[in-house]
Amino acid sequence: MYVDALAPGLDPETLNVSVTGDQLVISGEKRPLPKSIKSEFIHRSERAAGQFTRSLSLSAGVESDQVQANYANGVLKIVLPKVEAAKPKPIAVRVS
Amino acid sequence: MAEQTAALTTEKTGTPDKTGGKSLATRDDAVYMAPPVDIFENEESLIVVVDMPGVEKEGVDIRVEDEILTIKGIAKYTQPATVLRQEFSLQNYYRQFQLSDEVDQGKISAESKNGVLTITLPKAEKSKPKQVKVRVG
Repeated sequence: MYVDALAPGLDPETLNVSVTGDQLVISGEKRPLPKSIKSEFIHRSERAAGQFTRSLSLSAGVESDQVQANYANGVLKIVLPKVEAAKPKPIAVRVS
Repeated sequence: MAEQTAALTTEKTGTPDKTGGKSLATRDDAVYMAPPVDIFENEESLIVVVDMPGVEKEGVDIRVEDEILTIKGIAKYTQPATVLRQEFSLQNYYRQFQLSDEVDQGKISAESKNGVLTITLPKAEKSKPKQVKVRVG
């Protein structure tokens, strides 16, 4: 299973990805503009900032110790290998 | 800085249509989205911060022409498997801004980190606040 998240500007130290049973939990923090900037000097402020937490239910069982997460260019990519039992198995059809 | 919305022009000219006339292609083939920005300034410069996830350093295109700052980002994304849930579709980014003459256009610099592009536009000398000595006489 693959989970991709659009998450530009996250502080990598706050990024947290964990799998418990069939739940995937992602959390992190995006640093807002430094407080040292006085409000009269801000022309536009459109980018959201702050903390986030998100949990997703996984439809299939995953091998939690083989989950890989990669954060590059503001995109968080998580790869969760399925458990053997969840992989589709071909069933031979006997024609009589 | 005022926002400028100019049509994206490309060098390619349109292919002749059925009536035999040529239509000039003023639209690019790709789809673009306007990225969210934060703009603020300090004494030294104007700073523009742009959220462009999915864009690598090579995909960033910043240019200044006729006092218009154009920010373009080409996003690279390949879908790994069949989609179960889709909340975003990664598109390319494009946005333009009108610069006033208080910006020193030759000294603009940019840095890209974690999908966020930070552009620093230093103010021209004449626009920086200068201390005026008051002579008491």
